[in-house]
Amino acid sequence: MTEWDLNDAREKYGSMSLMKRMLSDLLKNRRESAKVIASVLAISAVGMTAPLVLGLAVNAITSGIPEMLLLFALIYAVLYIINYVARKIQMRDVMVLAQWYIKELRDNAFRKLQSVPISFFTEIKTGRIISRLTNDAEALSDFLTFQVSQVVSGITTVVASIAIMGILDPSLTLYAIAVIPVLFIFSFSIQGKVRQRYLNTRRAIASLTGTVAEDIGGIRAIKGFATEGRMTGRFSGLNDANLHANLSASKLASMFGSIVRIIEASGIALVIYIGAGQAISGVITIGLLVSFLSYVQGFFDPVIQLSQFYNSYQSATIGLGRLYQIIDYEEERDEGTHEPEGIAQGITFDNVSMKFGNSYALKNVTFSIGAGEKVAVVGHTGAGKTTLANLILKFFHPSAGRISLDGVDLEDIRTAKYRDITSVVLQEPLLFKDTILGNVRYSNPGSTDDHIKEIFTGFGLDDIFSNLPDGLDTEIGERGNGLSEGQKQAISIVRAIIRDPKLIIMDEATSQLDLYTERKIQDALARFLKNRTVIIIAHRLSTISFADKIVVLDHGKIAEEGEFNELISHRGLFFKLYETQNVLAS
Amino acid sequence: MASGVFGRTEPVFSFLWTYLRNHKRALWLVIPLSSLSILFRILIPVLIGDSVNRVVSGNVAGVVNISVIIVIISAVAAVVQYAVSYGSMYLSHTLAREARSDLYRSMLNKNFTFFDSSGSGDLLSRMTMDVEAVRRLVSVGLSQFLTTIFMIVVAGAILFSLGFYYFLVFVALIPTLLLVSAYQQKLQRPFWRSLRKRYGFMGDHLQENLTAHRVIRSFNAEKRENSKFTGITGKYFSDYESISSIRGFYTPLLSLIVSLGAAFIIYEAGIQVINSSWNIGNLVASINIYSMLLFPVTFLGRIGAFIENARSGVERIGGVENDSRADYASTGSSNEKPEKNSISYHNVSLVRGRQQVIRNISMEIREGETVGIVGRTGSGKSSLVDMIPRFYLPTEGRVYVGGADTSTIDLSYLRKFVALVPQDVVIFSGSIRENVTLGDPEITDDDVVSALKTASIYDFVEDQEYGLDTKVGERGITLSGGQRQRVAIARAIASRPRVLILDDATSSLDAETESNIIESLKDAVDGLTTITISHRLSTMKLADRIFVIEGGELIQSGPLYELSGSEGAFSKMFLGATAVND
Ligand SMILES: Nc1ncnc2c1ncn2[C@@H]1O[C@H](COP(=O)(O)OP(=O)(O)O)[C@@H](O)[C@H]1O
Ligand SMILES: Nc1ncnc2c1ncn2[C@@H]1O[C@H](COP(=O)(O)OP(=O)(O)O)[C@@H](O)[C@H]1O
Ligand SMILES: [Mg+2]
Ligand SMILES: [Mg+2]
Repeated sequence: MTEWDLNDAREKYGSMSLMKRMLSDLLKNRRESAKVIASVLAISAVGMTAPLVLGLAVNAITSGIPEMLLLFALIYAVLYIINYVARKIQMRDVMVLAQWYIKELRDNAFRKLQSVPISFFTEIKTGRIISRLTNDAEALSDFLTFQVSQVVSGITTVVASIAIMGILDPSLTLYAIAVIPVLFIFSFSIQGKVRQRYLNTRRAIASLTGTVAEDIGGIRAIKGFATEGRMTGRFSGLNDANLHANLSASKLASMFGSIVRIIEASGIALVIYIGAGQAISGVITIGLLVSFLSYVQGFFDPVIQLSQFYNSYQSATIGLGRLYQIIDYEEERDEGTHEPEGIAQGITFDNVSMKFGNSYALKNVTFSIGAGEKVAVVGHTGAGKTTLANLILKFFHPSAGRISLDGVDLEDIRTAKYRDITSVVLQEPLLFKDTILGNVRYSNPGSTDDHIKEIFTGFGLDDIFSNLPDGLDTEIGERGNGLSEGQKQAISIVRAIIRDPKLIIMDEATSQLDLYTERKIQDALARFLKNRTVIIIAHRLSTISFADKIVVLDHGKIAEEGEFNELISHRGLFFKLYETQNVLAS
Repeated sequence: MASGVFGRTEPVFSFLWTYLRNHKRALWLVIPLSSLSILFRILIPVLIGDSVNRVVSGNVAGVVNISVIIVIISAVAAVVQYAVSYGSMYLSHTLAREARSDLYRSMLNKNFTFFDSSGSGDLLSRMTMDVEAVRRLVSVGLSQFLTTIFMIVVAGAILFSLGFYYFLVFVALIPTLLLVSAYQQKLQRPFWRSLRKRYGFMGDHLQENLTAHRVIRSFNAEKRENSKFTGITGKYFSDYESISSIRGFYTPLLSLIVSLGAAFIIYEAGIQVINSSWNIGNLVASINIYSMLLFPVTFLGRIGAFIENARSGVERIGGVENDSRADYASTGSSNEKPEKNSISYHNVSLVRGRQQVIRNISMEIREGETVGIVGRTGSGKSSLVDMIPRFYLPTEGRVYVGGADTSTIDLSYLRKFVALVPQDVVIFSGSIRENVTLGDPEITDDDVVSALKTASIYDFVEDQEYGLDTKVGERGITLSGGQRQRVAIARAIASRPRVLILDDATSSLDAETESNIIESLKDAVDGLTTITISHRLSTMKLADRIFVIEGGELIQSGPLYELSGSEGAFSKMFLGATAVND
């Protein structure tokens, strides 16, 4: 989990290399980036010639030539018309380029999330991932749209202005740029602190967001145990911490801006002092002095902008790091070459073990499931039943041993193809915000309403929805809100069946359904899944009665295996499970 | 004023005012100081112009004085600027904190029907994005918008003092600037609206996609998910494209207008200077003032986006705060604290959505009794028990706990008195200990251990490397289904309830473990009233009495031997089941 800590991502990449990568990604959009560069150059060109023209106009005035004055005034106007055209392109295209890039980042990150190993999701909270793709990507927007182009054109203007000033009057230029080293030293000396404080603000808001996300997710437990007071206390603490982090960063940023202004004024005063002396003694023209004063003023807006730039830069690099971290995450490769169409012989577990951290969820499991066989997996909770199912589904890969389908290692089978012939009812019936029919169709987009309704009826599941005013057309909310838990399970079962799989795994699929409904499902399954391979995980013995074979798991190991009657006469763990249920019940 | 120019923004400003008015002192410091700082900044071009005049007249001493004055004024201006800049940040972040805190409280105060119909991603984005949008309007508004407006006013005044002509040109420009920026804002508005909506879709889709990742993988639906997502980001992008075209056209237009005004002045006033009726210093000063305005006026083009975002932020925050589905307010001065743990339903009916899920049920559960509830899926079992801790209020009839109508019982008392373990248990990411105590400092480690023991999960916890400190993943993803359920049961036990409701909270446990838990509950908690919903006959055997629900009605009740002895829904369901086993 530490690998996914908030700041690690950026530290891992380094801000500079993140920027480089961003730049090279941006340049991939040739057309837009060429237009942006050209327009930024044009804007800087105007920025550096305008003061010159202004100075020339002043000279035309002092030497009393109206025609020259008209000429320079017109040039001044034309310059700004050019500036308008350039800015128009720049504004539009920078924004388009920025948004294009953000879209690429989001799309790539999302695509990656569809192919990362499942274990990824146990490492990082979904709230964090969502905020990476939404907030963090959005934080780039300000940086790319406003800050970068402003600073770039600002710096080009400064550099070019210094060049022109140098040509006009080298010695006065030296005075004019005398404050620049001061500015640099000052900026760099506080940069580290600024950075740290902005980092703190990002941390503060991230932990606030994470906590609120979890509070919302667990709202029923919070309210159910009347812990609103404590939760509010915790929230207030984080909310205050966020305020303080921001205030301390703002304090520094404001101070930075103010000191830069003082340095600016000193620079101007210096130019006036030296330049005026020279102008009075006739060494330079008044026009030149005016140009210089104008140039020096132009230096500082970009610098003031820098403090905002820092802030934005911090957010941007943190965000970029976090997004690239997802994009670069090693994906689950699907390089198997075998593409099974069905199941000929069956599935074999050969000494399979599965380890989470230091403990084994499965240990040296060896057994096989014949094609078309119905196998039940039973055992105490935590015995490793779901883990077994996850391995067959290729959600996880065994830490040791091998699982094979018709003699071919699952690792050599193309997962995408394999999942075409398999289907699953997960222990947790995750549904989408859609209608009931829409939810079922999710697993098989081609299925018609009539067909779906047929399955509901065939499985005797139609009547548990009959009291809904809109029946199967009922719109359900996030995660199936608005239905009873059993109804959700029923939908999840039909959703798995509608795929017409060759292999189906049902992980405690009917645990919250009533016995009456469950019996009907069993009858239907027996009919419907006649030639399919079925793995059923269940606690109720009634559920597994139709199995050809029963596998009993205990602490990750196979305790027993065999037919129902065989196991009963064996008087082992299964017998005990069966006994308790029967003895307790009778 | 801004509302006139920028359309209907009143709700935004009245929202801001409710918070800012508590900080009047800071506000009354920031606003005048910001105009002062502008005044100082604008003085500098004036002084520069003045210095040019002195150069023309050869006044060396005057020039030196001016350089000194410039430095001094800037230093003062810097201090003022610091106060303004920090002050506006202070105000904006304080407002954000208070607004967020109010929103959080108000959200936590909503009842279950509210959460049934709200998306969690959406609520979260209201707490974060929308509050931030409002905050940015304040910080930007105070530091930049206000500054720009002041700057325009001060610039006007100074230009007036420099010469009426300079002022006149300026006065001609201002309405044009305002019109252009108002117009472009109007053009952008629909796109900003739609952007925010799409942003919400993006979050919701991500939430759904990530939560259901196993479903998606198992159904090979990754490609469909990808194209759904790129569909959303594509539309998001095209909204931005439209905005950028509008912005690209109009925002630079603002600077162009100012610059053309400057060019016009250079020529017209320059001629006057040549004719030696005006002085050149004033001309230079006013040109400097014009170029000083260049950057701030482009800001007028951006403020629209800030206002627009803040407006929808305020709407969405208000959407939660003004929602009347509050939990605690329901019956005013209700603070009864019953002692007895009996429960009774009097002619209770419940309507959820358009469906009547409970129909006129009356039943009694005695103190310390252990009862079971059975019934078909969707028959209303959960809905029935959810009314005891007042998760939902009956639409008709009353539910009593210890003889007191639940709607008159102090709510937090009631919910500590009654613990309900739901079917879909909630596990927080964090340690096992935190999951059991939920942060209650009064629950000691001993309590946690004994609760875990009663819930038959202590053996597992003990085996873990970190014991009680073992971290569980988000939503308990690193635990098996039955482990999650038992942690939730332990949490309920540790809260020392007088009534415990297990709503099918043992469905992932084997029969033996389930029975062990229910039996040990009796020893662990003296006189506890227990209600268990389950589909297992073995569990019902432990109940003193059983209630059978069908279609929202209570159709049978009594001890097991009575029910199984008679023909009816109960024996139809369970005896059919055991028949399969034999
Ligand atoms: N992602 C995971 N990380 C760590 N431990 C896990 C993970 N998934 C399951 N486990 C552990 O593996 C064991 C078996 O779990 P599981 O297969 O879900 O059991 P069940 O038989 O109840 O389905 C449990 O002790 C559980 O805590
Ligand atoms: N949040 C909700 N909003 C509207 N209807 C609901 C909601 N939750 C459940 N229902 C409906 O109420 C009925 C009873 O549900 P529930 O009490 O959960 O049944 P049970 O627990 O007996 O399976 C179901 O038909 C279900 O669709
Ligand atoms: Mg399981
Ligand atoms: Mg229920």
